Amino acid sequence: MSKTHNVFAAPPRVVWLTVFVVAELLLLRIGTRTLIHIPGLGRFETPIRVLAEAGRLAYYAAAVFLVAVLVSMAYVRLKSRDPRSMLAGSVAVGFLLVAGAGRFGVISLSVVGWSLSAGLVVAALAGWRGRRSVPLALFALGVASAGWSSLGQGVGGGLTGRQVDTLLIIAEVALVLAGLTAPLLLKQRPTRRALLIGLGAAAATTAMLWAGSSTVWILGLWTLGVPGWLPGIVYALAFGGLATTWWSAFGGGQWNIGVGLVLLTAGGVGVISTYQSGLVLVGVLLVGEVVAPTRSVPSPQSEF
Amino acid sequence: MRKRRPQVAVVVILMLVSVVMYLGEANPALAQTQNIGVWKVDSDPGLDGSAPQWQSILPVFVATTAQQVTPPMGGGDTQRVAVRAVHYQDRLFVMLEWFDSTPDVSTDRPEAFTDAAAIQFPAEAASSVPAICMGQADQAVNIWQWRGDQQVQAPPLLGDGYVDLYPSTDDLYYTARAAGNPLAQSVRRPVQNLIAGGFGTLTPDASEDLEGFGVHSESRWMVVYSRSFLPQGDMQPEFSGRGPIDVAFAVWDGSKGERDGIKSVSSFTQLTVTNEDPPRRAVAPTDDWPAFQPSNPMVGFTLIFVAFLVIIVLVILWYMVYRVPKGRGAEEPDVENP
Repeated sequence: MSKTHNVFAAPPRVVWLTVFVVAELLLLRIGTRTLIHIPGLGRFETPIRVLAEAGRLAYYAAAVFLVAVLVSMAYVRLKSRDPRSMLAGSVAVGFLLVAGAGRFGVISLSVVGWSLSAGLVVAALAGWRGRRSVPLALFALGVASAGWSSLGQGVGGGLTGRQVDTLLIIAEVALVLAGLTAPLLLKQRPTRRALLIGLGAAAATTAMLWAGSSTVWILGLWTLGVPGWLPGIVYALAFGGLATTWWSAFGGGQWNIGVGLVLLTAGGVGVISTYQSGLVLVGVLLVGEVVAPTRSVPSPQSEF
Repeated sequence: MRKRRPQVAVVVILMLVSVVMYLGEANPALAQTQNIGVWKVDSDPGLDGSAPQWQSILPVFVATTAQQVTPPMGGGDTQRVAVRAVHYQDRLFVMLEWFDSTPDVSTDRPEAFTDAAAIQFPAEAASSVPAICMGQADQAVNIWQWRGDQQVQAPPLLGDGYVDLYPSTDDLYYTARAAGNPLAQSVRRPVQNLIAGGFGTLTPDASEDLEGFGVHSESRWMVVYSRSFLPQGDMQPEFSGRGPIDVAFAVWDGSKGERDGIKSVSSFTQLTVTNEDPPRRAVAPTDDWPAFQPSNPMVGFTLIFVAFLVIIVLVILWYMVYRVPKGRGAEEPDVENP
């Protein structure tokens, strides 16, 4: 395998961001919420605390690297003369400003939520380029729909229960379809091995969901914002699509797609936190740049 | 090599910044969980959730799912709860409303279970929320549980039924009552105030400030809880308005066999006390219900539609992957490896 045919061909800041995000997802969002339910907790309290603190440290590191990656992405895109790239760069700058203003209480939570949701949609549209962009567009539709269902309640929203349900169903269907169509992002068709791995991942996920002895459903809601209203087999197939794409992307030198999908998955859907929205934005920019490259941004390597 | 040095330096600096922020607990991100406003009202809202003063307030819908963390697992028949919250004279009122076509308020048979609903708060303010299922050893939770069967009086004996004479009335012979089991008390209270610090540690609190009442109307339950801002006992949160308060919800549908851990639960959301007026609705409350429920015929149609869509997409995907010429993409710039 050549040097460029693995994830380590990616710029260091992106690699570190991905490592910290995965560590945070596994240790903090999933690990501490699962390990806490082991019977005889007392004996494991110290190791669980150590893992939880490691997860918290990974979270802070991921958040800091996220800001750094967004700044560099915005800088390179705004420097280019390509309108779509400049638009994506403007979204990154807008994201940093809005998230920062929200953090310091300058603007309200709902303004932050609406702005970030709109920004994600614009960033996805900026990367539109036909068939290969379909998964990204579906993901953006899912994020926007889930975000609307949450933000459209309360003051100024006034969504009825039926409308909330409709938006959530649209979000779920769009996300499932995004997972299923994820192989379209690839420049080349997946190999038979990648397809088999996807099928294996789908079968394993189906088994986990059907066994009923796991925390998969509730973790899906808590960590990724997916209510889980559709039959389990649908999510399993979507995950199979993602697994096929990951295998092909990391094995075929398309690290942007692999890393981008990791960040999109870790970011989840809806409006959960500015950190998770930021992960989704970086994922959208990474994948979108590969799908719709511009002459003004010759290589993602150069921007880090 | 020279090019690498600045990159390494930047990574090292970012890591140092991360450690400093971690040690100082300077969280750079902003939580955007659902925020439920606790609005100020000028008159006592009362405990009747079906009253206009409650129904005119715009609710926040919180998604719920089956409890799958610890046995007995399951439930999930209620898929969302409408939440409204107000405060009046330093007293918090929270109203939960959910779709349930059958009011189950009798537990006169072993296989009969009551409808119930609960609100869970962290017992104390903390930087991280406790484990959602009964809290954890170092982070307890305060649970307000309303039960339909505790709201109604015990059913009278029917026909030729009888009970054995039981002359002893002291605690020695009523061990459950003596142990403080809230279900064994002579005076029934529809809402129990409970503290938990992990599984198997659920304990009733003796303070009697917590009130609650449920109304079933038009195929939905409306349950109002009320407590003063300042707690009467330990391990219970204050609602003084110094910041958002984490909160989670659970609902049991008795006729679906839901009891104990078999229930519908939400993730943690937040309550924020404000002195603003509540947002009033412009749409009829009936537009909220019936909603996306398993018993709704629309669900079957929706699932078939989704399955159809998935099959179509799979077919298209299969076609694109295997029927598109191998040269596809050759004309596209290779941005990964320029």
